[in-house]
Amino acid sequence: MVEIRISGRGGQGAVLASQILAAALFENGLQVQSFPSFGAERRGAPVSAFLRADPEEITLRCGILHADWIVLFEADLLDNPVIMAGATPSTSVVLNMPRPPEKFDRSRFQRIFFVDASGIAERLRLRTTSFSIVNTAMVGAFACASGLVDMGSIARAVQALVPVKREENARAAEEACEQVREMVA
Amino acid sequence: MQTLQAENELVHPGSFSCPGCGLTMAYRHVLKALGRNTVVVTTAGCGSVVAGYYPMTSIKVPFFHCSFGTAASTAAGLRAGLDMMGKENTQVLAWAGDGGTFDIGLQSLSGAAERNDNILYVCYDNEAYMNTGVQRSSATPPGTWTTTTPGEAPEDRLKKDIVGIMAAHGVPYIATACTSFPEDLRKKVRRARAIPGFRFLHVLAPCPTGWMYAASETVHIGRLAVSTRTFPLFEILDGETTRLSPMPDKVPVTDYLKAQRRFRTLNEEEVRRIQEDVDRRWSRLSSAGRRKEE
Amino acid sequence: MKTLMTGNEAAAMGARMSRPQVIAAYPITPQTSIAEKLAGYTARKEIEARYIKVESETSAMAACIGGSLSGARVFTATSSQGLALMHELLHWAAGARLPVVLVNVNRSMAAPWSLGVDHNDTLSQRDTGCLQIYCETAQEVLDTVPMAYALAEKALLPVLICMDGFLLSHYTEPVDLPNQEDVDRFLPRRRADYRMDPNRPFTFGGGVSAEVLYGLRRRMQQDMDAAPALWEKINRRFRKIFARSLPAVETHGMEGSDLALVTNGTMAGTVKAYLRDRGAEKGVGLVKMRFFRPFPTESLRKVLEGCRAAVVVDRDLSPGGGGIFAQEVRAALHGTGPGIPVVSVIGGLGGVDVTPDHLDRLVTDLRSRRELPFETLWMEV
Repeated sequence: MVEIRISGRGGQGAVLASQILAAALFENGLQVQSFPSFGAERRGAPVSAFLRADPEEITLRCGILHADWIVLFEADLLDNPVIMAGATPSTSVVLNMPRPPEKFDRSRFQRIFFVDASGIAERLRLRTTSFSIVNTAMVGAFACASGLVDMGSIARAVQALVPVKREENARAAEEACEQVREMVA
Repeated sequence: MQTLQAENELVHPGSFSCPGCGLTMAYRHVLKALGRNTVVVTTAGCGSVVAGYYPMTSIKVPFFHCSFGTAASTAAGLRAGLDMMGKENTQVLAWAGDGGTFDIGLQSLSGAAERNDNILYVCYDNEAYMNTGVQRSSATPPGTWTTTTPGEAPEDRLKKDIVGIMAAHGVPYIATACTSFPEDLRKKVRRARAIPGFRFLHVLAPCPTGWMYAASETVHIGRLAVSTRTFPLFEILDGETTRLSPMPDKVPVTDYLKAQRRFRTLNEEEVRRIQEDVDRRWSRLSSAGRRKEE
Repeated sequence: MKTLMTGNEAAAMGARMSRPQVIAAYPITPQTSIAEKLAGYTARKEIEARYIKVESETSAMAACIGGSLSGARVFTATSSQGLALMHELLHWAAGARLPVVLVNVNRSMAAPWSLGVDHNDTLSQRDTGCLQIYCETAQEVLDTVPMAYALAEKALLPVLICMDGFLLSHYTEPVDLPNQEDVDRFLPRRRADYRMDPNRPFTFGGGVSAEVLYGLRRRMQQDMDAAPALWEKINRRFRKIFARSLPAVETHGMEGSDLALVTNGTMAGTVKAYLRDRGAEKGVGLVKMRFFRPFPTESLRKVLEGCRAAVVVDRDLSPGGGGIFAQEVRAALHGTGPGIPVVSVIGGLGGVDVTPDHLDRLVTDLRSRRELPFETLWMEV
């Protein structure tokens, strides 16, 4: 079973990102389960969404205790202990940042990927009045970083689930897939 | 003058009411005016006792005893269901006392009025919780003795202006009526029947048991309530237009108060203040409405 | 058709496919999205129904009662405090023998304020005369709604469908969506023999003598007693069309196990995950209780026969009494053969996580004891 945690700030669309990924993984023949963090939602506050995927039926009903993957819409959430709960050295991360982090403890994670999702979203004018909407870009980056899901499925899930600017969002996922890079030692 | 034809009766003779019960008269007239294609919901109260005790029933149309606070919302659900069952022409009557309307039922009443649910809501007002043995409600007028406003501390609050509250909802039809003016009451029910949407009738139903007068005096007491303008008769259309109904000439309020022992502790000063309050409300009402001979 | 949906979407879809004619609901977390979905279906005329936007849950249930009296099929959904507000009306609905179906998204009762799941809201409705069915998955929720109508309209009692807040209501998961034609075949329109019809007038719910009330209550108990057999019949019919069934009590891995973990709702799913990894090695099986009212005493006795102990994990608490399911299981097993000890464990209140590790620690602890505890155990958080 693969367990994934997607974190951003309230309003950035982390929950939708997990649903897009769930739909794409489901189309790839996997059983999936996606859910938001519990509680009243507030714009701007750190939020998480969760995803499980497995070839077998998933019956587990509890929070994700160990994340195989953590996808962060804002790299500064790396320092948030609540968001990073469940991260271990066997966890891999996908970060929204234009270049690899400097002075970074490489041993914290198994693999580290980065992508300038904000830049992609800005260029495609995917934004609200206060921040850029990076969820579809981050989904694309995750897909290509992890190799767990193909981009065709992602594109179809974006078309099916994103309520506005479907073309731009599909483009964002595609561009992020091409641009995502792994940080090398 | 129209005669009351016995063949149109929807209430069986004989009921569990006290002798001289005002609401039983209202029950009979309202149903007579509504006709056979009617269903009724009623809340706890004298009305549910009058309705009968299994295996007896006092009524010839379908009847449901609902929870105390939910006459309006139960009726709203029934209305929706009947519409879906193709029975759009069936009238839904919510029948509730002052407790079930002014107090515990006010929230559901407000909800149904605000949604303009297509029901006729009739409040039979006997100005206290009579079925439980005379406790004050927010419909109890100042100076009244009840078991919860005993002689040492009679009711000292004004009666809640339920009609004003309903008018603020902007419902298509509101009327006040009194059992002592049966033609007026039935005319208003027939008018209400023809109007779609939420209709509210506030019917004063004198109660010999709780108001403490002789059972034979119910019609007289009701007439005094109207002629003193303690309970004026009028209609409000769409929450805007007030139309006064024909009423006998005005007489002093003391005639009404003195006729009932529930007001026995009132002193002259208190009677004067009640008269002032009645006059103030009457002058406001008569300037809002225009007298219309019908 | 296989698709993804949340538990709440499944509830709304189950309701939609059952063709309710009157819907009355009031928003409350975590139920709200059910009401939103149904309002949308009605507004877009995807279902032929009246949606009454009531001003409280009391009025929601009152409107359902009124709607049901007309002979129409009615639906509502609520949660926690909203269900508590309906409490009086649930007695009215059951007493008037109306087949109202409602979904409750379980959430703990205030105070203090919490959005997490436990079952105190529905278990507080134990004695209202509503049947209670607990669901584990979105598929179960979707299937249970039409089955609940079939049961309610036969037994003439309301059915309260219970689903865990967030752990089910907000989890997106695969669901096999039935065809509307198949659902219509399974669940034809309601036929109400007694309804508010001016052509055939009846008085409902009026005053009765003590003897009549006594008789009516006895009748209610008899109809509750008959419900499990009725449910089996409904299940057989459902399985024929949809190749799925939802028995009142379900077991997993009980063969060769001497310890039964007895639980309900989504907790059963976590137990299944635990059993898959460690069940055989620990000698543990699962007894999942779908029904709470009527209490499936006979089925329970059958599946627990020969067990060394039944460990009841309650996501609820009757303060001063302990786990509610545990009490009921104890009562159900009392007087059977050699007697099966019941261990009562409280876990998951307010939605606190219960993981396979928690379950493993519980089982390991119980295995290490010489005597099984009678006092209530609390899972560590």
